[in-house]
Amino acid sequence: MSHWFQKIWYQIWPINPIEALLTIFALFAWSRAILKFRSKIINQKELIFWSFLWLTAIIIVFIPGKTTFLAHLLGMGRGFDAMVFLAIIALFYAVYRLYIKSNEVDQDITQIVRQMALRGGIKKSQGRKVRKIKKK
Amino acid sequence: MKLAILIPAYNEEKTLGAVIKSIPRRYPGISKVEIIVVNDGSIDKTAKIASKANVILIEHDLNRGLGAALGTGFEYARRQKFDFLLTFDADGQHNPDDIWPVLKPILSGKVDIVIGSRLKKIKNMPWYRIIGIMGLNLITLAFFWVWTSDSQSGLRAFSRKAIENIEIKSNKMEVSSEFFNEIQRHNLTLVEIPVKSIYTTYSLTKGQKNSNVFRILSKLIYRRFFSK
Repeated sequence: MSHWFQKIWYQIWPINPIEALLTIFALFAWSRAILKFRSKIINQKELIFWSFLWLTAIIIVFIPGKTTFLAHLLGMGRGFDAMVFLAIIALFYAVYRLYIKSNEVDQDITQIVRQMALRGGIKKSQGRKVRKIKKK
Repeated sequence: MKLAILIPAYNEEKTLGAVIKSIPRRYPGISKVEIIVVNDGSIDKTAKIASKANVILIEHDLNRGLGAALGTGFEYARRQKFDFLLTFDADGQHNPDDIWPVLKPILSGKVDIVIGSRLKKIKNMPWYRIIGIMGLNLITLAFFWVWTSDSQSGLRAFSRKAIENIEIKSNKMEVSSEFFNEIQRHNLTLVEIPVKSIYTTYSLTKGQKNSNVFRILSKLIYRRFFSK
């Protein structure tokens, strides 16, 4: 805590910068949910769900020692290590899901192209005359 | 007995016409031979050349890759109830004289799939090609427990049973290895016949590059362990 920036920061606002950042992000996300509710993209139940989620997130941000607790659960020394570890696992999982999804989409596109080709595109050509084979 | 000769073609204007012309149309024991060209979204004159020849032309609106083109050909053969299917590359690397030796075991009814193996006669194949193909053969062995001397050959013949059962899901070059997955899954009998490959500077720019191995590997892992 000896950094000059942090010293000034604590004079203005006596909370951790990362806590402030997460809080601002959660509030921003919550505001988006409210805006979506106003423009009737989501209904009341969904608004309650998102409000609950983001407000709990803010509360969790201010619980002291939670990452250290997590680290001890995982058998690690520092809370920060545990967070990075979990984040990497989450990212790997996200990439894996995306990979599977993109493969599925790829196959779907092929199916569409194939069905289109077999439905309308077949031509039986003989010399220069091209006549269409009747549709199946 | 109906035979379909399937030529998947993507930007093959230089060789396709000659390849179609070079394929014999009469074989003993076969009443009807149809050449099917699957134009896989070519941006050159492939479609025009094919439509002038005496073939059935199936056109993909988008380029989807070799596997997709073969899959479309298989689907067409299934719907039109062809008895035999032979795949032939459009780049002119196969010798039309090899068609009959590859077809013969299928006609006997004892075999489901015949692969025209280029590696049984290694002559005039570039060394880096050999390394690439051998690598993919090992991968095929590791994944599907089928040993083959040439898993990447484009000259293959299929029986009715094989046509009905083989389900191609791969879109690109990994389809060659996927066939072995299907062979293993449906207990199809496989025979290899040595064929000569004609390597020209043109046909070498087409087909597989060794660097493709990693892509194929990742797709095969996906296909083997994660796909539904």
